[in-house]
Amino acid sequence: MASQLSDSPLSPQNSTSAIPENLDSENLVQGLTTAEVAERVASGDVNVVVFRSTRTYKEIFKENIFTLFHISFGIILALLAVLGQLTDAFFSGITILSNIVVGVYQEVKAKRSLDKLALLSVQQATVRRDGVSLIIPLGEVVRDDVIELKPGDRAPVDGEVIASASLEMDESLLTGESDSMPKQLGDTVLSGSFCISGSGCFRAVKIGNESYAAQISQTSRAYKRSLTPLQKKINAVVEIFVFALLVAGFLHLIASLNSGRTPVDTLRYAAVIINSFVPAGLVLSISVALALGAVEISKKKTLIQKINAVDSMNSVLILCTDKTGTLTKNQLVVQDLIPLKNYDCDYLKEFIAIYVTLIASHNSSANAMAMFVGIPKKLYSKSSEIPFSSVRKWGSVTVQPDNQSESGQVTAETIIVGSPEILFTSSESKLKAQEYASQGIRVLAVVTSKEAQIEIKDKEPQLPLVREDCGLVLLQDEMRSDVTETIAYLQAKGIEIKVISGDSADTVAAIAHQAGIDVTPETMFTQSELDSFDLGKFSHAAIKGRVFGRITPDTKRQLIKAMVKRGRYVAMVGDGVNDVPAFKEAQLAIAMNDGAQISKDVADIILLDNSLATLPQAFQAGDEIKQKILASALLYLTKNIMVILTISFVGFMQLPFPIEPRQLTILTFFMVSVPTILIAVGILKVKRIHNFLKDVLGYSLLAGLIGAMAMTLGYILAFFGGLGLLNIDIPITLENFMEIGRGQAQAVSIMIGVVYSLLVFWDACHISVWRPRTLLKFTFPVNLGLVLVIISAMVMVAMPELFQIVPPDRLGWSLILFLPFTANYLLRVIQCSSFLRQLPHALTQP
Amino acid sequence: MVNPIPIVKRSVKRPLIIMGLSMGMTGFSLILIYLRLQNLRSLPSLNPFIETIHNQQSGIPLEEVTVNVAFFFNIAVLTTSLVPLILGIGLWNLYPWARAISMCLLTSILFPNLLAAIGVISDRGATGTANLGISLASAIGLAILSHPQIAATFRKKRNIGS
Repeated sequence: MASQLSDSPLSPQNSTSAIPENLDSENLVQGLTTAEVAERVASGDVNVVVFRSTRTYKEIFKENIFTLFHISFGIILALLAVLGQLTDAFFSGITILSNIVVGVYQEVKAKRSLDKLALLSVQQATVRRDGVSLIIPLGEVVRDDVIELKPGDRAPVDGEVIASASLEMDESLLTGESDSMPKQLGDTVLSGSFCISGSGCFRAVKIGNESYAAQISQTSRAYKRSLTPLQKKINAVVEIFVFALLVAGFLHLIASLNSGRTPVDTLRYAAVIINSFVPAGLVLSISVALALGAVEISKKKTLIQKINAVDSMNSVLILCTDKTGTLTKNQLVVQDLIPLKNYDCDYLKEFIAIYVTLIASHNSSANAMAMFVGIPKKLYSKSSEIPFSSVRKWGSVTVQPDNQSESGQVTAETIIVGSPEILFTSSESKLKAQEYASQGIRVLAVVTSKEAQIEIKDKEPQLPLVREDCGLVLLQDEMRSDVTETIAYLQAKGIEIKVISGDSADTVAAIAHQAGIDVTPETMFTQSELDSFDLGKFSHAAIKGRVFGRITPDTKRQLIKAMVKRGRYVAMVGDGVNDVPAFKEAQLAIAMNDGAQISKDVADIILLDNSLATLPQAFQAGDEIKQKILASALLYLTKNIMVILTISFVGFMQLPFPIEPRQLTILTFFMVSVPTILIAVGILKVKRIHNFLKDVLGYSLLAGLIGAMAMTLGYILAFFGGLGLLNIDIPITLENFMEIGRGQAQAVSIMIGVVYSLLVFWDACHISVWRPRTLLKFTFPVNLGLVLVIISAMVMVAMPELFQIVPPDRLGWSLILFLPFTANYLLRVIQCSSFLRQLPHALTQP
Repeated sequence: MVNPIPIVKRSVKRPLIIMGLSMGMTGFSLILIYLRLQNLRSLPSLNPFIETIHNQQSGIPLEEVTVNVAFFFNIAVLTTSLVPLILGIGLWNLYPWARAISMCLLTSILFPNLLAAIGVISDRGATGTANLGISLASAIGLAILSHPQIAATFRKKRNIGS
């Protein structure tokens, strides 16, 4: 689908003024003809774009199957199978198989949904065909197409510059070079770089996989791979478990060799140890929760480009936002023109008309001025132009009027438009500009200079020293209707809002104030103030400031960097090219769908309806995902710690191994995997968990320890109880000595684990057996838990030989009922005790 | 002369039925402890790490058997026999934790004994009639502790304590 572009710099109505002089080729203006395009399409000379908003199917399969856990566990299972232990291999394999099936299924499902949605944000390019500018999807660009570039456009393919009006490309995403690269005729434009100022055209030479961006495989989208705080914490816990596994594995091997355990038993118990130590299901449930979360959030008109952005949203402490296009609609209209000194309104109007007619590319301010002033009274030709840049804060055109000295004609040679603070020479003019800016009006200064040429020093245009203040352009940008409400919601959530803009600090402060941000003179900073600060003061200002005005893109980046360095989790909302450097530093980059293509490319999240109002909903959804992850982590870690400690305690007493692989599979599958999957897909609602360290890790350690004590106690009592109570008719040999009590002890122990896990699961769902009302209130998790426990028990009791147990006798069942509930009560008492509350404080005392 | 502030001793009256239950549990516990001590006394050896099972038919050299299983079994059951004693004392003092754990204990006695009485699960240590008797006693104890007035008494005690 191509759409005609009326305001293109190469469109016929603009062609006389906007086309650079060097763009005189007829072919260039025409571009390819329809027939030529068709010919190239037929020969396959099309820019085949592998659309990638999400991972490929291959990547999904690869990352879900070939994990360290799956490989090491797979080897153990293969060895077990070879040694004839097919049942153990099968039961232990269920864990891996369910991990893989559920993980792949959910991620593929999420990928399909996200890919469909991503089409709404598909990348496009402006090409010149049959003399008309057309906007087409990147996949329709053919070789030799003439591609137009204006600020914010990303080069979709490699090519050769055939027209340049001060075209400057930013190649930092490709090369790391932060300075923009001026592009002259014949220069190469690399795909992935983007136009930062000026405008131009280039001919597509290398397309598809030949292009630079495709060859370096990691395009701008993949430049940043950061983990969210929660991911880091969970990864750290998993790493600790893996490290402990290495130690435990070594000890297990030594113990097996010393005790004369058979190789088969050594392998079987190794499978239990690995399964207990590596919370593989936790990693699975996190990826499922994130993938489903991305789909869920996408329903709120928010496209998630990086899957961990879902969790990232929940960690945000500071939200930095641009003003124009984010807080305001970026639909600028000129409210008034204010002439200064000896100039009258007509003169000022004429200057502006000349400027906007002659500049090569129009931003929103230039468009608004063009609409207001119309065309100049007389035709002028341009001798040179310095395109507007958000770094310089000004742009200029040098004109050559035909009758320069005639009365009533424009006599100036260079017209400069930009920031009043930079351009105005008199303090009176500056003060006037400030007055308007403090009312939230965007103010542009118009000055003239008699100098015939702007001097360029070290590639940087120098502002003429002698300038005459001509007037002010007052631009009004309407604030988005939903901004106040959104800002209030975010602030209520404890998120600090900062506005960083290239506009005047007074204008930004006024808009911020309207939006509900508390701004005081102490929390306002300008570029010049920040420039005068040393590193420490700059960092302090970054944290303290609420409004930053006249900020260059690089300073914006530095501000974000300083906030991150001070431990804040920073999100940045923007829509323009000038926001891209800040996006790189922010932990969460949020772009508007109507913003510059490059900003969307590097963003983690795109707001498809360009409204900040979708953020609270997305944040809310992100919060729910985090809760699901935390609840899953709680269940997995508690189970793992409980089983690990039980094995350790029982091993310490030199009793037989307490859990068989197939028994562990029952415990894990029914009491942890099923609930966590139901939590991840949103069927089960969990109680709010605030803090990973305290509420998840702390709880899991305590609950796991108490659960292990219950399991161990149950094992010992059932083991010796079984021995003592049995009316043994068979002679006791050394071989059957350990085996006699083991069957019942293992059955009792694992069932205590099952019942205790049920109580932990209920606890995660806000249910406590000690508060009977909660049992009646949350009937679904109660019934589900009971069904799962009954199935677990029945499966094992019905097939005792398969599960290598002896069905418990009366004493065994008494232990199965008494110990987990008592342990749960003990857990509750400890949790409520002042001892536990005061423990962190006591431990931190000198 | 300043009048001393009169000290009001706040206390909760202990229900008679709780006194009975408490004494019942304590007595039951003491009987179990006595029986276990008798069992321990009758063991051929009280050394936990020397010969354990005297089975002449096994042919196991004695020095290879290192754990005195019967000793440990008796110690284990002796330890569990302490549980009703502790709970009985707790109930006497109207501690809420004693009520909660007693309910756990009575439930865990009630259902397995009931199932053992009807033959669903095995019980080598008792007959069906004994199982039914134990179930009945547990059910009565559970009914007493679940009664709203009894629950309120324990709550009142907790509130005063806090």
